[in-house]
Amino acid sequence: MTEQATPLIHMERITKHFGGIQALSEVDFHLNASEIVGLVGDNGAGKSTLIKVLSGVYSPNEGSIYINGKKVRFEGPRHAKELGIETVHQDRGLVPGFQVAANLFLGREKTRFGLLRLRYMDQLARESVESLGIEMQSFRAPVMNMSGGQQQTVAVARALSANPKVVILDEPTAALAIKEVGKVLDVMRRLREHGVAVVFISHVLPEILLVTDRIVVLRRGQKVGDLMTRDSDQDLVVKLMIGTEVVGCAG
Amino acid sequence: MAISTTTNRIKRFIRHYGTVVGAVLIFAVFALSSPYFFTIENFLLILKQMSMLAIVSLGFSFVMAAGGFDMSIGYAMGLANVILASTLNTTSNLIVAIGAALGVGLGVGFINGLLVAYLHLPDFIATFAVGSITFGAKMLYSGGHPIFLHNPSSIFLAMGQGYAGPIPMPAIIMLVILVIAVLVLHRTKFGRHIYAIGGNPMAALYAGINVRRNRFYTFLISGLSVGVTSIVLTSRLGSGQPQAGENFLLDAISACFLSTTMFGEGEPTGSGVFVGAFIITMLNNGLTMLNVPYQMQFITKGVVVILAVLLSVLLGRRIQIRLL
Repeated sequence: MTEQATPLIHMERITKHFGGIQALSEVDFHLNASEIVGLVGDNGAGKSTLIKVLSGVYSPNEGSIYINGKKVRFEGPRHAKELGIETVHQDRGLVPGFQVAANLFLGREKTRFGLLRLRYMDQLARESVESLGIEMQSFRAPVMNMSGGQQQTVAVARALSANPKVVILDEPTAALAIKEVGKVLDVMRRLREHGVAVVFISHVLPEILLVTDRIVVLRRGQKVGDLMTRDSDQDLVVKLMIGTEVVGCAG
Repeated sequence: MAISTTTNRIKRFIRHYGTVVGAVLIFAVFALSSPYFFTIENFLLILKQMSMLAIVSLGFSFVMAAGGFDMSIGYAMGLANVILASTLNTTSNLIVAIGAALGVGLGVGFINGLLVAYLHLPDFIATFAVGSITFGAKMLYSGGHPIFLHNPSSIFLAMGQGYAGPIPMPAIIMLVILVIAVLVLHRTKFGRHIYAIGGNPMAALYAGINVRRNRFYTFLISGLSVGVTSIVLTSRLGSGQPQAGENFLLDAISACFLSTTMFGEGEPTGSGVFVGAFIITMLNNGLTMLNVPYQMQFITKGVVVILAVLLSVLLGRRIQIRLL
């Protein structure tokens, strides 16, 4: 199941440094369709850098990225999106003063004769948030007046509205009420059913173990573990994170 | 629970309409103090007086919506004013002269945009320095003397002094530009994107918006509005005046800040800037009518702006203006 001939995404020997700081060194990372992969590691392990490379925000100093076996070079976040990679960033990437629809369609607004179709976008936004099974009282309020969970819903709904092949969720459950966490995990499972590959970054290992198919562990910019979730437990993952064990790494 | 809801409602009302209510109060005071204030003639006069301020403030609001600031508008307008006057005198060609004025505005906007958006200089400092350069250029060019128009065509004079029926021409120009500005700010992708950049530049970047290019455009628009305003100004003065335009900086900032306190947005809106320009002009007009010394108008304006911004901060709105 994990070792398909050509993975959907294959990142090969990715290296990234900022000045003298080595954020990633020769990290291999792959991703299959209909798979939820947990990406874990301590602070500064390189998780955010890796997904920023995958979402076109950073270009790597060395290494290659393949989509369906074809080598690509992202020219920026927009390019990565066009190739089907959507990211929900840790800070949710929302504009605080914007309403739901304005945030949902940011960068791909619907227009007619050059003018925004406000009512139409409002309606689509409503449908797309409701399809995630999450209730929202007000679509017209600025998102800064909403709860963390509601903001997260808007951010996830925005990622989904582009029909992506890959969805990267960077700490989507941080600062959420427990009830809302369950809903975000359900959304991931629903994505998997539809053939989407999900990268799930979280500090909360029970969530990772609950929902993922595979777990990739980073430590100090290197990949130190790549294991099937069913073969792992919290102790093993923690040991990998803090550096007393190395498992399943090619090379 | 019920009480707090009521309090919230009152707060929300003040936040949305506080500035407008304040303006109505000022209006009432003037109207009660002078029999000439609340008349159609004076309303049309205020429309005429506010038109240049409204146009330049609408341009400024694009920069401010994207989280920026443009300190060069006053001096740039003076430069456009003297260049327009002298070009009109030397060429007698209206199109060339207007082109020169728009060119000066766009040129200054281009330099501002280049420095701020592409070379990442702090907007406050960069545009202030560009303003200083345009001030020097204006003084060199004019020698510090007024340039009187020799033989201005009646078409050109009409732009600043004419009327269509009872409506002053500058007011008509202002209303056309207001409609365009409101449409672009609030009904186009570009408008959305610049507000997004002002609200959260990283979110805009993640969404694939070209942050640098859009910020650059906002400075071009501000420069263009300076050019357009200078045309009305030159027509109204019938000359190029070395000191002309300088007061527009403070007034435009005031109008835009007042706008951020209106309609609960926290950002300048097209209609808010229009009302802001109206309030500032009404203040000038009413204080003049009450024979308040000229110097006091500056003090009053400063106080009004501080009160407006203070009010909105006390009401818990986040003011999203970054000066540096």
